[in-house]
Amino acid sequence: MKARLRFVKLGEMQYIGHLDLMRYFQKLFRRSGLYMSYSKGFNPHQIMSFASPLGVGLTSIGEYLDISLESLGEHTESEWIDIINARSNGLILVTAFMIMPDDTKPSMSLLGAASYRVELFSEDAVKDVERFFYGNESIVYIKETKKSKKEIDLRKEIPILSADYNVFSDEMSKICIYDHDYEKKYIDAGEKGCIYMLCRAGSVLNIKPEMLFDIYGKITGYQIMRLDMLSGEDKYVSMSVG
Amino acid sequence: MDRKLALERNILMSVEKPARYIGNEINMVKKDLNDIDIRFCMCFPDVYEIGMSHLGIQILYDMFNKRDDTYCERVYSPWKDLDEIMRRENIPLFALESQQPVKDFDFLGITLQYEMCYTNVLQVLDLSQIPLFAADRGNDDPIVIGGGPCSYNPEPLADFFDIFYIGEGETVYDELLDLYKDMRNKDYDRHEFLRKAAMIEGLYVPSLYSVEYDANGLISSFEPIYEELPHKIRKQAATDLEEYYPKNPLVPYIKVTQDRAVLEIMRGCIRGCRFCQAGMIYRPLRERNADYLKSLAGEMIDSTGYEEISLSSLSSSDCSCIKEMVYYLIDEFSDKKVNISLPSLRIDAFSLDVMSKVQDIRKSSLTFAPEAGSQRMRDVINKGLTEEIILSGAMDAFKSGWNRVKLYFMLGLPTETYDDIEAIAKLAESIAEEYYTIPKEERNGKVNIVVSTSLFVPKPFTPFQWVSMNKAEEFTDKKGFLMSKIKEQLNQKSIKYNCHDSEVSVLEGVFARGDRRCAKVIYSAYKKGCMFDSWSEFFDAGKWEEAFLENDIDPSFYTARERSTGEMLPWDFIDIGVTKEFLIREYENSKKAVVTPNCKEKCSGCGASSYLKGGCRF
Ligand code: SF4
Repeated sequence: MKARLRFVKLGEMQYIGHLDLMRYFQKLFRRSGLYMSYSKGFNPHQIMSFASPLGVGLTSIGEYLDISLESLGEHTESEWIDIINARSNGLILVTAFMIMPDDTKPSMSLLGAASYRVELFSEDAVKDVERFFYGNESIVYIKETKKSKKEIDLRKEIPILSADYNVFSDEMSKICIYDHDYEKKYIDAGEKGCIYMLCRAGSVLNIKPEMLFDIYGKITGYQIMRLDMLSGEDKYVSMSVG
Repeated sequence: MDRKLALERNILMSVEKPARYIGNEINMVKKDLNDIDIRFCMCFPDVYEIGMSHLGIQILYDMFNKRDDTYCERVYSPWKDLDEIMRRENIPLFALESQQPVKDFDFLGITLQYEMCYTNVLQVLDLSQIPLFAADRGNDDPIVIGGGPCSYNPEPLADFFDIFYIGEGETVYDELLDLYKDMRNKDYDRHEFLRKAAMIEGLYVPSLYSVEYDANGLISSFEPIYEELPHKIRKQAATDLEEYYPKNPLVPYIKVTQDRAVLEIMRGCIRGCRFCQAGMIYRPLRERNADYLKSLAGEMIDSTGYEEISLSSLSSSDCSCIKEMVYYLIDEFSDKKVNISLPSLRIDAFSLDVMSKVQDIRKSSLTFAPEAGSQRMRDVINKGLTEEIILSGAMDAFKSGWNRVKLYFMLGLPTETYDDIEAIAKLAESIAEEYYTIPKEERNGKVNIVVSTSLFVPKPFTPFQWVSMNKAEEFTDKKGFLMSKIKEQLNQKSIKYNCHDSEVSVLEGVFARGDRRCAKVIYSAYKKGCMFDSWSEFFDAGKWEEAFLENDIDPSFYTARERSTGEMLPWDFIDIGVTKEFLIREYENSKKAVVTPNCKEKCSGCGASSYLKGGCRF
């Protein structure tokens, strides 16, 4: 049985790296008594995969974890959420527990975009970034790997960018299906000093908000929160929408 | 939860593994500071991953926090990167739980597990902004307490500590905290408190004892400065081992050295190896009840979610419930996908059976600790392991499919000759030859033998506490010699050799048997920047050499010098139950290479039975 969990990673949990987070979930699921499926072999491990690793220093309200279950046992999905969260630390919390059809592809392979909020802690800085972004027809980021050098045009790869949450969510509604009410529980729409953006994502090309700030320079000490992850190419559907 | 981290985000983002400093691990104890009378900060003076792996701290953490009036928190050595930032920005060291400065606590308890952490003790005090020397501390500074195995000779650190707790923490800490609570309420005076604390059995307040030396630098007198104080400090040994145990141990976020639930099945050891300090200071043997251990195992796995559990003790094969426990864990936990990590067991039919059940034979190795190569040398150290046992154990294992062997030895043991060292190479060769007697078709590829040598450091409260320790050059010669002998063996390609660093061992030797005069050296070395000395990337032999020279202290006075059994030793004021007469008897036996039977075979009247009502019983 396959299941997809949405979870949040808040506050100081931003300092926990991806591999440690994986180990955290393994122990959390054991404490909770979830009927996880295990791989075969001498050192069996729980079958799980994340939609996309979250870097150290980022918080999130839109992480996704695919797991394999033997069964749900005596509890419903929502009961499991309560059981798991009661055994977690208050900062890593499961917010959705969805049973998926057996032929569901891993969320990792479906990933097409991710939305973010970047706190810049300064209204002036926010205006400057907006001006920089919309004032240039193309913003080229050079991604260097050991093997290759690739030019990425951030103007194309970041379909939405706004300092106004309401503008951002209007734009989002035009091309995305996602759980707006969920987001509003964590986001204060009136908060100043933040930039919201939707970035294309995926295994081949993964656009991160940091790329834009790398080019723009001048700003340090910003705090990024991932809001959601979505599948699709030009029109997107949140992974929380099945 | 309103808990602000002590470190700003930009700092946390600039250091390696920021999770070392944020606390809030699963099973961390949370208390409201308004309800608390006593704040106790427990410290392991090494990096988080090492400190978090230590069972003793978890036991004390559980014990202290059972008191409603006390909040026990933790602190570890900040790694070098953060250390530099904290010094530069004048950030006081903080406890992980409340994230508040350690200097505001009532107590700072530091566990001393190995000598090479001594400069880190100073680092922790310094970063906490607590005066390094006990004499400079005032009423508002925490009481600094040392404990753990190195406190069986606390003298090199005497100047830096207010109190040493000699022995196991489970017995008199309550008494100390009650005394403090009582006195803190009135016109508290630090000195008065320490004077009263020194009357509690097992507590040593170094500032209340004075030491004199004769013209040769030997101790001529060691006396309390007040009449009422005891002349001997009696080691504490818990008799009820089922009162405190962390049923909900802390679960770190990052991978630590001991990343599993640990069950301490017994304390003490019946063997009496003459080089082993743990074997003497933890006497008498006390076993935990199997039913208690079984219920603990279940509770710990449920509360932590660990995927591995291990059994711990000095010599698990001697534990009367070992078979019962191992088979219980296998039956109980294999369905739950909990791995069993086996303690080092003597190789026999039982251990081979369970090893084949819980490990992948092709990947795991057999471990033998003969400690010495020749039978004569093994008799000197009272290690009752014969070549025959090793070879037949290895053969049984080879037939069951193993082909990797790890062998542990020591170099520099008392009376050691080059023949004894050559015997190490020959023993490894014999094991390899044994392997190749198996017909080729039945063998599992090539045999793979790893020989490791550590360097013998004489420790207090062992029959070897008087002997001369080898100098660094001797160790280096011996390592070279052993290497050349291994190279001469027929199967040398199958034998790999690992060895320890000589300089670190010599320094360990100085502090193991040092006296109060060594404090200056530790202080100077710290001021020169020595820290994390147990980490080879940080150990700086040159700085230590300067520190000895500047303070006019000759390390070989503490290491290479053979003591007479009549000499007053710096740690003689401690009574560990095991008598000096017994240690002398054992020392004499070692010179004659006479083996002493283990406690289960025959009691040798060491004295430790005084801790048990009705004496030692097996
Ligand atoms: S008193 Fe006897 S049995 Fe008890 S620890 Fe000492 S030697 Fe062993």
